[in-house]
Amino acid sequence: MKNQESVVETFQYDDDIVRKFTLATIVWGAVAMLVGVFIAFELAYFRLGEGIPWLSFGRLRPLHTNAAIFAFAGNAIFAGIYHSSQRLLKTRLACDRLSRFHFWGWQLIIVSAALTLPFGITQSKEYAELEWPIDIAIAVVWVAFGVNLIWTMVKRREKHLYVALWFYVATFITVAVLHVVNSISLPVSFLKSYPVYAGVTDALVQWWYGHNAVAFFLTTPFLGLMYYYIPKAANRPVYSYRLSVIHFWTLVFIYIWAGPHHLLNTALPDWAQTVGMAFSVMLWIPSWGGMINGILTLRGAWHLLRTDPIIQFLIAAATFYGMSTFEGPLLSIKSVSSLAHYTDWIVGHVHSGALGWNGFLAFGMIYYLVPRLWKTELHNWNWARVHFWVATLGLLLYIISMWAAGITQGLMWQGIDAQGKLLYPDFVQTVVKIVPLYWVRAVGGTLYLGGFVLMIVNVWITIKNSKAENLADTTDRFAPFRRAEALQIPKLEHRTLERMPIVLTVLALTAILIGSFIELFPFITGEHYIENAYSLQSITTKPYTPLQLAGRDIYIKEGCYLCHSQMIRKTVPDVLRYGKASTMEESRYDRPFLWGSKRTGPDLARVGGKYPNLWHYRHFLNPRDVVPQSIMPSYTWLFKNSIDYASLNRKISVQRVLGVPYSEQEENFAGENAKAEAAVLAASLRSESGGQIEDDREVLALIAYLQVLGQMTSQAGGAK
Amino acid sequence: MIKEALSFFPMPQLPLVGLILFAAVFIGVVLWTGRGGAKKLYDRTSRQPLDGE
Repeated sequence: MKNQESVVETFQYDDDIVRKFTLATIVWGAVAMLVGVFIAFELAYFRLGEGIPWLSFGRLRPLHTNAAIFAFAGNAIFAGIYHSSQRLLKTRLACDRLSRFHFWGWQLIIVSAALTLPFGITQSKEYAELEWPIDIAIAVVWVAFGVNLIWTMVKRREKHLYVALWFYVATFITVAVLHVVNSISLPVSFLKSYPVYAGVTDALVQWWYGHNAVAFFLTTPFLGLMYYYIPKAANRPVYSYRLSVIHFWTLVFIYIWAGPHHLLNTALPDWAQTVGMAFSVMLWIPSWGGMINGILTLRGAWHLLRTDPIIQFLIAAATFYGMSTFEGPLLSIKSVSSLAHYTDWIVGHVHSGALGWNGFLAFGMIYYLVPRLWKTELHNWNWARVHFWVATLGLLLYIISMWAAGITQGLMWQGIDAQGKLLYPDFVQTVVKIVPLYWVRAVGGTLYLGGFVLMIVNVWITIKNSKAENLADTTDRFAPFRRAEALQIPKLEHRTLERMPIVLTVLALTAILIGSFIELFPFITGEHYIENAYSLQSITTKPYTPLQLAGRDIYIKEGCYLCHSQMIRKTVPDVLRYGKASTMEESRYDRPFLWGSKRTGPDLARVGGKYPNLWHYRHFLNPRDVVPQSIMPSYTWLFKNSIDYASLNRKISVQRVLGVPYSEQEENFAGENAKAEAAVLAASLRSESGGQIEDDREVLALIAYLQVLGQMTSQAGGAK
Repeated sequence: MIKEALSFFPMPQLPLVGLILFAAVFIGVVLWTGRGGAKKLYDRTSRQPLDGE
């Protein structure tokens, strides 16, 4: 030990990479929020952007979520992880080239997302919309990040791994597993693919991924940052280190099970729903343990909350973490979910997490980092204080308006009179009531963006005031950690574990694989399970005709699923409004599943045959023609664009490989069959409307698809 | 064989299995972090962010 203390080494931290990620966070944050505010105004006023395909809500909403999660929060995570890890490990990042590859690779992925999503190139699985070539790029860049992180841990000078680093390791390993398992698909072309999972399995895998993207991309890394930056900003150690260890293991173990709470009361088998609900409720324990730990770190320094904007942002972030993780388990209770699911309450919930927890933590971190990274004073701390209060006001307006909208609409959907009939049978009656709240939400979002713009200006002037020589890497001095010596500990203790990044990685992986295996394995391997259920009931499901399949892909391209669900839940109000509850076999061949997660418009699971073809035709041209109060924009480009007949043979071929029972002839003549089907439909529309409709317009395929929804299954004996 | 068995398994006991597993992990971690000697280590480790710049 004596020897160790006497050999002090001098080394430099890689600050340049942290500066790069910090600036990327700010740039992409502006894009994400700007798109968010724009689509918020679109929901309040449907004429905004009407007629321009790439400005439509269905195309831009995935861009907004991807930019917010992977571009804004993602770059913030990398900035914070690279900054804090170097200091916690007392070493420079393992490989400068890997760090740069990570940075530029990630920005390239974001640019690819921005160049594909607005043009309808999407896999439609929420937060996993990007097509297969980008998915592969994500996997490669993510592994580069993980290798760099763990390699840095291995060559560290500090003996023990501080708890923040455990959260970073869990983030890396879990996101890698989630991304790979959920993204497996078979390409049709360079920018089109079908997932290997179908229907209920696809739904379960997607929400196992979707929920844990929140858990391991928006929670665990930010918790690691919280455990570093709150102590740092308050200059006192975390309230209870022991609690942080308990927080880590319980959170990592429980979170992975919670995905099915996105599918409550649906056609997902009940046991999986119950598992998801039970584990979601258990999440109260670690979440609140973590929040209390973060906030109580300020003990004895509460005055900082009045004076220091960094502390204000960080503590408000921990508070919003506590609030949204209280709300989450509450919403995961089946009866609460039956009211809240598909409404704006969920939108309010996710924004209290994204804007309150992730946003505020990122802002606190940026205000902490910028003066240190550019080695100068922040231009104006009062502006940072104004940012905090403007953002808080905007956020509160956002959340409260969405609570009010969600609960109002949820109750209206459920309203039943003394005769047992729906009080508001027309869906649109429940929409017009909440449109004023959409305006309030848009104003709230604008305020939040306004605060962000103030931060951009503040940071911009700060950077301009910094001199070029300030950009030199920070130098530090520390004694090397003699790894071999340290590992010669006679018995395995937790302290040993805390020094071993690879063992820690394996243990964290085991913790997440237990829940994943138990939940997913029966579905992924259990084609028999589902087949057996079908054959017992003598149920058969027809595959889509080529034209219907083309229409389904247009439905995906236009993001229809973002406002319309295709899942009638096993609840009385759903069945009264839409018909018999949806069943597993109805989405048996659906790749991807399109159950949806929000009803800005009505459910479409049984819309087939409900209206004549001409109704749909007029509805796409101008929804107000048939539903006077509708807030859906018109889809005029569907009347100009031609159906992509050429790719249909290949599409059917891929579907066949995936086990959909098409014949070889159906594969070979898919394009011709679709053309013939479209010609018949166009002729009937021409005779009904007296107008001119060409045979190859996209709207025909979409109508063909909508008209088959709820009509694909039949049971021996004639019942549907 | 395992695949077949799982395929027909209705799994009503899974929430219970999950609960027991979680309870075991939770109690295990609480006891583990409360063991003798942990406090000193944790006090030292919790100061790591405050060392250096």
